[in-house]
Amino acid sequence: MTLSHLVWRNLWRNKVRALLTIASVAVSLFLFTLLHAVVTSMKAVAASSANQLRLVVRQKTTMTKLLPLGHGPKIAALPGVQAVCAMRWFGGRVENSPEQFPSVAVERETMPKVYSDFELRDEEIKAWDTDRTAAIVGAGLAKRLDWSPGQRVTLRGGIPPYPTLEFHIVAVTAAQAYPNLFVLRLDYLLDALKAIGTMQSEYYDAANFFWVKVAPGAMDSVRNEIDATFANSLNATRTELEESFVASFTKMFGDLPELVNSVGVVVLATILLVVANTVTISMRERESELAVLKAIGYPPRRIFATVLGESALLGFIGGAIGCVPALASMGSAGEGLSMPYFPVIYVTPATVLLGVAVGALIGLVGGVAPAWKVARLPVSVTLRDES
Amino acid sequence: MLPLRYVIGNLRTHRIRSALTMLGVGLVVGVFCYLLCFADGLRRALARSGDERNLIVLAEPATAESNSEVRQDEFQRLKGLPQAAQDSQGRPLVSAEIVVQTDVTRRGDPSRTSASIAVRGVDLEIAGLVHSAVRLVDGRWFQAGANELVVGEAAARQFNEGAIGTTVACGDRSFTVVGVFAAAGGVHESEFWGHSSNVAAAYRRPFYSSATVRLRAADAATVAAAGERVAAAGIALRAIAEPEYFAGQTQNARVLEEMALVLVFVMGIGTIFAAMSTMYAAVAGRTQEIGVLRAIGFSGRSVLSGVLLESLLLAAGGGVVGCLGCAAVVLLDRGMKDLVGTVTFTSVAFSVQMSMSNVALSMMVTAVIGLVGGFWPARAAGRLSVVQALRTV
Repeated sequence: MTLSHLVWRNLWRNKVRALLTIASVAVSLFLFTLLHAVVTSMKAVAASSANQLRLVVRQKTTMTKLLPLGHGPKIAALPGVQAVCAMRWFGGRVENSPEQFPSVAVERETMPKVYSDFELRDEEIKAWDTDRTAAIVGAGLAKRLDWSPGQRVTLRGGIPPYPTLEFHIVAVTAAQAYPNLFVLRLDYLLDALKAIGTMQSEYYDAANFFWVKVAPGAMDSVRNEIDATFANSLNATRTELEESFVASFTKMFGDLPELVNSVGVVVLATILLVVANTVTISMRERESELAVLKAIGYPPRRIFATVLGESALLGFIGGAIGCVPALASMGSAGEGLSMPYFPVIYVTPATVLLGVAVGALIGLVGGVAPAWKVARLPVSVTLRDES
Repeated sequence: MLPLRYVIGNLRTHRIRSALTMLGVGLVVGVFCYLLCFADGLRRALARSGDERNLIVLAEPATAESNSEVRQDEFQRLKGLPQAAQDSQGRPLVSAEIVVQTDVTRRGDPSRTSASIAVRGVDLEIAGLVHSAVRLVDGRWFQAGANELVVGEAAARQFNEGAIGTTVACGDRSFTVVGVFAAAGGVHESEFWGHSSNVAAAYRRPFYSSATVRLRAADAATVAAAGERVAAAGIALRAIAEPEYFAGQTQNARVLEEMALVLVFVMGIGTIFAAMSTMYAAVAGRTQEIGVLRAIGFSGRSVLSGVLLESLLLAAGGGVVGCLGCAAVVLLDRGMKDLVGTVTFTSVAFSVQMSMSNVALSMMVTAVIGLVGGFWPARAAGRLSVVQALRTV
């Protein structure tokens, strides 16, 4: 009988217990892989926004106050700036629905350059260029509202004087960072606002943000340069790296990554307790037989190894089973919250593999204490204990 | 029935096993309790904000004060609302308010990410009577014509800019914080308040955002009549009762709560399996003893209930550990959090507090884990035949 055979047979001696433990580990590891997928997806978005070499410029004290569009050419003229795209909050919602989704108006000419991560095809960019009513929709939003490319939709704006506008969806973007975004053309929005004409004049040619695409290596200098340009003016600015802008948003929404991470740690701790408990119970029941093994010359090292093997196997099988449903949802996107920068959640192969590995590892760790204990028990005590 | 001492004695015999199981249950219950308290804190802040006697008037298509614009002339017409209460000098209690925002940073946050909180411009003489829960707790009120702010208690605790004497950049100007006010725990405690003309100038905003009307009475008829009157006034405004308005802003709390339920459901299933495994082991290790109990006259039902009680006690121990753990986290964390409204994009600071109702809910989850986890092992124990049980070695 080989060591591995012994471990395998031992594991199934008490079938109910083995199954219950494996089920418990499986459920917890399933949860863990999903939580981990949330965190990795958010990190992927943060990393990709860091790679975009974009700065975001807004009014110094609050993003809700508008900056004049005239800032755009001034920023574009700074050395190291490749393109500038003004963005105005639109706050659209389907008429008679209270739910507002992140919707923004951006400049036609510079959008494709600044937002290369929308991953638009050439013909989609062409349609965006030629159609004033063009709109680009995130995949999650399109799915939720059952919209498809080519469709015409009507939205009510969330900014005074609340224009109702019709849009032609020219593209649905699968970009991971923007599942809930609705993008329209700034010229279309501003013309519509002007046509209603009830606001003060500086309201019209204004934007909430300027997104600035910067040459590699020039991020910090451009950032300081922009704020210096407008300091001490009526429309002073605050320029941030896109990643810190995204981080502020994430934190405002209850600091989800931190919460998810802490729950993930708790889940792992639970698994550890479950495995340790099961192995402790099994070893206690098997003390006399382990003593017999020792009496016939089994070295403590081997006993230690069999116990560890059994507990690692418990964790591994639990992990493997728990990752099956996670595998099934692999690549499929979780519905994002209706919040800017909440990404599509992908369960990746790496996450699934990690789940299985973590299962085995936790099994191993959980077995150390009971294995150590039985390996060290003197034969006499163990044999006597049974009576 | 088996005596309680016997049941407890069993748990104490297998200390490691009992402790590990209790800790496992405790972790799950602790997470559940914390998430509940978190969602509760936000909901409490929003719920305390609504005064039944107040109506919020917004531009008709606006969804919140932050994206609403109410004109001077519209405000003048609102003042003639017959349902509005009056102060001692006969002025109508209609408070026109400007709601804008400014960025702040959280206390003790090394990453210095920003939150956005509301700056409310008011005329204190009227607003103080309309928002009857508002009272000064430290410093003094802002003076009309001065660039001064008072800060809500919750914001003062959560944000660096909330200390008296701090300079806060608002729009194009700098304001000085001169006082702290309380608003019975409501959303206004997460705001800065300043004089409306100063706030309007700082943000170059010629319009109000909203108007709050204090009604003569809080009965449904008055509320409905005032609402109809506003809608029929030929101006594009809409009136919402304050409690209803704030209830509509709790979407984020609901999302959190749903998340807590799903998490706890899945983790709970895992824990039930673990508790079941422990109880099966407890029964298996005691088969002979159960045979003796049956032989000396305890019924199968007594044995069943004894094992079930043991499982319940085990879970309850875990539940207590979990709730204590949650309380410790709440205390160590100082308990202040903030969450942004999905529509307003302003952050509401609130305190996470332990509440008896959440502890009770957590203990109910604990009871379910103990009952379900213990039921099958208990039934197996109750069904053991006396002879077979005694014969087991």
